[in-house]
Amino acid sequence: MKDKLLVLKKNFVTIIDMVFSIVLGPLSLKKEKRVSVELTEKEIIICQIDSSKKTVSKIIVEKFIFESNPKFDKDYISYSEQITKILKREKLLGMEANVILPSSDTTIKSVSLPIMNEDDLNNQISTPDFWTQFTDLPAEGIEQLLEDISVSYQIIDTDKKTQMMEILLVYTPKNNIEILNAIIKSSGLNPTVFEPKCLSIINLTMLSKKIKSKDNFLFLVYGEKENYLFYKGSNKFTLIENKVTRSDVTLIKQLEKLPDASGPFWDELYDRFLEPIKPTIDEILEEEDNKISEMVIFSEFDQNKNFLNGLNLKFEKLNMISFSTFPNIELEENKKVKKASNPKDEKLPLSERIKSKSKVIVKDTSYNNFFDTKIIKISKNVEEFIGQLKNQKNIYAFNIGSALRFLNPYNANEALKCNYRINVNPYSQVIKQNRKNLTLNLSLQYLTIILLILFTTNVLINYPTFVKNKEIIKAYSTIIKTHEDLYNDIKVLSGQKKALEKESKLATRILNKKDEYLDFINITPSVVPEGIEVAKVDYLKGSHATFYGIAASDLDVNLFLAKLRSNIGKSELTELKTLYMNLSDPVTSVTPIMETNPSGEQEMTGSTEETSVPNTIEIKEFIIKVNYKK
Amino acid sequence: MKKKHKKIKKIIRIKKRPLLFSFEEDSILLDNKLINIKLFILSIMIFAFVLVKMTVFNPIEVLSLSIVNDLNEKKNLIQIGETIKVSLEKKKKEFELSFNEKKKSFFDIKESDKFFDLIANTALINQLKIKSIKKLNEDSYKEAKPIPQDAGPQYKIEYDVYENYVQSSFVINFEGNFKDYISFIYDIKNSNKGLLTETSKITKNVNGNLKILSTLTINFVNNS
Repeated sequence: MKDKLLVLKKNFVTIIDMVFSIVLGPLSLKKEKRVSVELTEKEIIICQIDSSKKTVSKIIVEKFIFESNPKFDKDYISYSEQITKILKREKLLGMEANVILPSSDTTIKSVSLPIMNEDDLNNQISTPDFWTQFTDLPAEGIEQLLEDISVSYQIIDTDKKTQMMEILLVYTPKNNIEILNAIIKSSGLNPTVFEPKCLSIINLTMLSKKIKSKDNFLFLVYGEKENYLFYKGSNKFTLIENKVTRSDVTLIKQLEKLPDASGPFWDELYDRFLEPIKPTIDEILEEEDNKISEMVIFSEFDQNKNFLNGLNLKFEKLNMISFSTFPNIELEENKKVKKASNPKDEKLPLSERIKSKSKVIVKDTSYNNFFDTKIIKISKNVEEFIGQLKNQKNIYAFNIGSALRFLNPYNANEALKCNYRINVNPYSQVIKQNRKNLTLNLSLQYLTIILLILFTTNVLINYPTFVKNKEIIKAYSTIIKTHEDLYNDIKVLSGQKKALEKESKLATRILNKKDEYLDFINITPSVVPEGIEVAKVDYLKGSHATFYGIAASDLDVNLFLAKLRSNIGKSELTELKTLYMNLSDPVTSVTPIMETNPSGEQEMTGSTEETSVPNTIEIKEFIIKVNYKK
Repeated sequence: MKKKHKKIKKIIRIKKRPLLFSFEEDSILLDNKLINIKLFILSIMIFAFVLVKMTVFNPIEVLSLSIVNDLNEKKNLIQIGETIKVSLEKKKKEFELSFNEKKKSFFDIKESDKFFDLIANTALINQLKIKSIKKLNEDSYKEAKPIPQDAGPQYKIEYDVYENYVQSSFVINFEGNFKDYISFIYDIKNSNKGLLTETSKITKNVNGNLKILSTLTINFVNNS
């Protein structure tokens, strides 16, 4: 359970690291300001490459001034002070350094192991068994020995079919590094990468020739100090050190003074110089699966024409490609007209190929320099520096090659990619982890600041809108209240208005009930004819009025009825009596005859009984009912 | 027995020179504490921002967007409402004035004596004698409700009763000549008071004067 949790945690950290590496890798790479440093007891060579411009911007060569033979451990402070002066002058203080280690001080091996993860590989490499099995180190006291060496490795090939992987293993005594580290660090540079010199030139050559890590490649380096043959097969990495003596070097130098490379001198030289290399070039070429058609040659010596010609003659099957460090180095091209090798021949069986060798008569030696392909350029400073050099121009290729390297803890894509990334600094893992931590720390700091600015800006930008929105919301509640109050007021007012209207209408209705009586009384005198005397009037509101009275004649009654009809309403004679009025006697009454006329009105037409009395006056007593007009 | 020779490690003592630059220590793995603190601060900051954004800014914005149309609508309605209110107030005032004018035509129930003053004074001016005044009844003003079309013969008429108005009936007995009575009637009419003559019996006396027996209905306003 605990193991599973640990695996889970590890996977999580790996994923996080991968995610971060996408972003932080380029950032970390950009922050690496580096120079390559080759420090010997006599001189220091510093080279700087501007990787963004892909230009060699500086090459500084300074000889140390000492009265007697100096030693690093003895004259540590003096070295440090002299280097500091140079760095100050060249404004290189505080930079990181790729320190070049002489190839002879390091051991480079290619080891085949079953495919395993990095942790297992680390564990495997730290075991003494591994060292006794794959190296020449003695089994006795191996643990003590391992403590004193610094190891670096790189997986260079993985074959999933055979489930094997090829590892480039490099180790060197820690002493070699510690003294250099102390001097360079105290001088004002941070030496984080320690690289064998041979890998610097291999990286530079592969980069210039655009050779990929899986391509076949045969590379011969020779000179005063650096002598090895590098062979990269389809899945094989071999670096064979050529242990040359001082007399061998003298012979090579002598060869260049001869008119050409031929005869017993060349044979003697070849036998002494290249035959001890195991496997030899011939043996490599005779391998069944080799696809080598050319050999790249780099020499520390500026003059190498005869040696190259000699090799050209010796290996007729191979195209010789000579690399010099800088352009414009005067090399006489020794052209021999020779039939070019047919690539198809490479696939032929060995016997056929040996036969075909006899047909090869002449071929070219190609002279190149590392700046031909324009992958890397040279700055004006370096051009001036080359111009001042009279000899020993080629040796700076190692410094240029080393200056290509970066610590690159996240393995981000580099502008000038190095195929072999060995760092024998004993603390390289700690440095890488610390660099990752620092980069992450710095990135988090920047991220925090950026996010803080972004968030603050966002808040500041949105704040006015926020305030506006808040005011809208605040205003909304006020508006709602105002709206409600207003419409309540309107409701109340409307109610009040309606009530008033109703009240007013009611009052109007009450008041509009005219007192008809007033009109009635007002009009009555005008409707009573002269022959009528009203004795009594009964008025009933809204219904009728009854007139009681006497009339002088029927004609007057009729006239009264007509006037009432036209001014007040429908008049009706309900009673009519004739009265005879004697001045002394009472009047005898006669019942009148009432008839209804065609219009429905009653009229007196005569009397049923009539008594004539000579001393009396005939008057009419009537009762008339008048219904009001509606 | 072969003796084992122990190798003696050669120790090189290097006189250290003070460093010009404080490069990071190669042999010590840096502590992650600072990174963790920064990650924590960053997380808190992001969380705080998201929290503020989600709980303060966004809800306010969403709420604002949801109410802004209603707000504008309500603002317009308030503007219209103000006009309506002013118009209503104006109309109310008009009705009030009109109503108050109309109210003047009524006697106040609390000041019922004013009715008697009017009758008495007018009669006096017009040389009419008031023989008697008798109150017949007093009741709230009521109006008959419309009779429904399907109302049967047994249908009882219903009334709307208005408590604010009180109607009182009085029987007043006058005596005087007709000319004075007419003049009295004119004066009463001009007083513009809610007086209604329900019945009137005018009889001529032996002496030629008129005896007028009127039933008057007076409309009082009840302001209590």
